[in-house]
Amino acid sequence: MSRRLIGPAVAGLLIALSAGSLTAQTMRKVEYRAALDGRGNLRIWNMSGSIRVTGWDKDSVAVSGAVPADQRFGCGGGAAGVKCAVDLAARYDGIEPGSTLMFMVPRRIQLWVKSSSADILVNNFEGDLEAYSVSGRIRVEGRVQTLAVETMAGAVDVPASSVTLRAKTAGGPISITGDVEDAQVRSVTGNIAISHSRVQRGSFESISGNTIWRGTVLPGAGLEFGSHSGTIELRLSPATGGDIAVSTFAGSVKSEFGPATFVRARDLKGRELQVALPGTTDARITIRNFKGSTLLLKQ
Amino acid sequence: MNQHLTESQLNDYVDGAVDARSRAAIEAHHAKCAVCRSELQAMRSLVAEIGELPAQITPSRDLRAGIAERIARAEHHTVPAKQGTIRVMRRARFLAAAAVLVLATTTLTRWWVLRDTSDAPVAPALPPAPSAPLPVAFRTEEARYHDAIAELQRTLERSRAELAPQTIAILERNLFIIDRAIAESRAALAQDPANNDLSRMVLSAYEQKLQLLQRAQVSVL
Repeated sequence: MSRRLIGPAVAGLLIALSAGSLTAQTMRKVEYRAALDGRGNLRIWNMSGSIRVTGWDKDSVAVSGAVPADQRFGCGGGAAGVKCAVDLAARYDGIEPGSTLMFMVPRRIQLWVKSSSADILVNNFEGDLEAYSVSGRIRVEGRVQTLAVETMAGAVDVPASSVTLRAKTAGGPISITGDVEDAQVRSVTGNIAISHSRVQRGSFESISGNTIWRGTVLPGAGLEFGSHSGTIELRLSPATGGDIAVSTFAGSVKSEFGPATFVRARDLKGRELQVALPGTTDARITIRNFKGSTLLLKQ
Repeated sequence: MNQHLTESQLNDYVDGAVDARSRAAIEAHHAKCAVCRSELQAMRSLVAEIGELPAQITPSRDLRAGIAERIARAEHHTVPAKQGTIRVMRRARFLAAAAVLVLATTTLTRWWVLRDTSDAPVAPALPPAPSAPLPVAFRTEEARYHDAIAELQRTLERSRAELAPQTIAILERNLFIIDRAIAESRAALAQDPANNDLSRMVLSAYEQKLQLLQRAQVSVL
């Protein structure tokens, strides 16, 4: 082996051996069961690995899973509220294999989940949920009352319907397909996609992430879209009626409604572009896009 | 009861969720088993520390009243109050050689991440005062954002060591993008101070910055 190859070979060996030692780390099973009121609350801390929460029709919480042997798992509390945590002393961020935890919970409780790199999946749930991660993916299914999800870089996926939805990311993409009465969605660089979701009131904002809306708009709905430099694309079904007001400082607007239109900001001279939609609903849509493209397209 | 107690038994015992007979058996086992006594003590410590973790997520007290009120109106939640850190004794599981290798890998990873972040562009300074006077309402709102953001940045700086390098990298990249957006839209507003849409765009970018910093604070345990 030539000298030039020795350095990379040693580094590769180190990485391979250490990765092997990590994956070979012993896991141990954990279990916990406790009474929990149907409207009680549960708080979960698990920084790395995965957290799966499923609603059921019992007044109790049941936890099962696997935790690295050198980490602690514990739960405490009473029927009104339970807290469960895996060793919080370490900063994992995906370096360790992490803990795999599965929770069965009364479906209408108040649920609070915090992770760093752990993925969070909640399904068959009908209560109030707050979920936080740094890089872990968050997915919520069911018919949630109030839903607040925040992540720095993780993806947010919400097929759940909810009364209120607050979803925020820095770089993570946000996908919404469930029905929402009141949605407030923000990202910095992450893309926002709302597909065939029935939203009564919605505010969708990004700095540079793109926003795509696909589907119809409910009668009387009020929607606001904002971006600094991202593309805002609305693909609207023919049934959608009402008005769209677009303001842009340095961007452009392309519309397929009415006479096909393509205008640049300088053509608007500070005025809003008003677009009338042909359908029978009376939605009100406002778009503010500083310098990104705005596309109003027929679905 | 000759075998060691299971974690489930320990949890139930700590929670007081065992009947008298089981309790007696567990206590008899504890009396003669140092391993389980140690496990029980660690479990009690963990549960006690879990109990100290926040029961609710409440708005940060750092924020000025006006901003906090706006956020409370618009948002459902924000930043947790000071959270305790659980310090649980971690048992050594790796051989010394493996530990050295892990350390080597971690060091390489950290070097790579930190090298990456050190190359990140520096956020632009706040824009200079505009040539045309901006509306008082806008300036008042902007000043509130400045104060709240500065307070959050100071808080984060103090806890920077508790943030993972990856989190710092994400935060800095996104702050840079937001600051650039603020600078651009604010410069445009300076040329057209009466433009309400521009005013809203600038304030919206400030709001994004504030919320990003709050998210970073949430990630600090």
